[in-house]
Amino acid sequence: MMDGAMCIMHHTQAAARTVEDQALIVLTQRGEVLVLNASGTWLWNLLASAQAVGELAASLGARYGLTPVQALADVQAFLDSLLAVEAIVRVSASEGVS
Amino acid sequence: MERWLHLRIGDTRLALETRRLPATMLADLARRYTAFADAETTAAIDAFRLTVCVRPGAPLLPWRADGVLPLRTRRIGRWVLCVTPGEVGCFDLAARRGRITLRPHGNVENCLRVLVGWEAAQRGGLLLHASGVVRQHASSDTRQHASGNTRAAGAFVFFGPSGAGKSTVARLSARWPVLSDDLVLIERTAAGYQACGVPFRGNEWTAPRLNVRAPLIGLLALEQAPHHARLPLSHGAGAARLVAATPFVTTCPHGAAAVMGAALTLTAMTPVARLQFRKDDGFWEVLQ
Repeated sequence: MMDGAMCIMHHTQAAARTVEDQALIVLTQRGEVLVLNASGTWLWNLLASAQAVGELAASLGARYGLTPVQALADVQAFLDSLLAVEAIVRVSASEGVS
Repeated sequence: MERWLHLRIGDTRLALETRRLPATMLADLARRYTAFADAETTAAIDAFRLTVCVRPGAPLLPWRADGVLPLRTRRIGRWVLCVTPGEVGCFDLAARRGRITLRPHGNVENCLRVLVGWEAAQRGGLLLHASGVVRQHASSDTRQHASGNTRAAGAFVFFGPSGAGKSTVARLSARWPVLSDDLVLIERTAAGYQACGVPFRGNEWTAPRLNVRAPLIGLLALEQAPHHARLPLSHGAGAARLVAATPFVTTCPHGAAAVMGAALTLTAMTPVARLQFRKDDGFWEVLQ
């Protein structure tokens, strides 16, 4: 389970472009490409700078009308999947939480 | 014996300085790449100049137990580095010069693939894991034979990961010119995109490799299925499939960004479709 205060941002080895509300992410260390849906793309764009998990969940809940519990669960699942493929990294809070 | 080997692969001109190579290795190189010899050696001033030499020693990378060739590429500033157990290449993309050092069992081909991939990406093209088939107008066949030229109507490029069916498609299309069953070069030109054959064949000497280029008319992402169907893909999804099929260059963020830009521009001109196919040539009917 992720701590809500944990901070996350893009991995430096991931290159991405957004096309028609879909983020294309090249995982250069794995030779794989991810394509995110609209809500995933919206979260991905926020992760250009370090973000706290709790803040991301609050933003997602406000945007899509989710309960705090559901928003946190969705964000955690999303971040877990990106961490597993090294598209994002955990960073310290001092690296620029917005 | 000539100590320079001039090659043209798509729009990449290469001048290989080979005087440090043993005669047997030089003869093998000339034989392997004869169809891609660049007749316009006066254009060598524009060529990417490569010094090739042999240096005995231990493997530069450990071999893998599964038989897959280990190949590492890295870009550092204007330099691209490429290392395999038998070769190391170092290419200055800005000065268009480089060096390939081979172990005695090595082969320049692995380094040339990487270099051609980077060169193409810098021009807005892509070196794809793909097979390519040139479809000619039936009415022009007689003229083509009479003139000795291949005047192609256009090229279909079938791409996908290992096992997707690239070689199968090539084998089922043998009545037309097959550019390759492994790598196809897409070049962006003033007249539009063109599909080009490449000489790379690894150890598969029997595989088709034609030095032919033709206007690109179809980009198909291969999917094996019990039926034939051509299905649309969104712009972004099509570009993503192309990026995933582009080796060597996408191993660093700079290269990945260049390839994504090239793929997005390409798919705006020539959309990618999914081709679901079974192992017979009936798939051509859904491509008409």
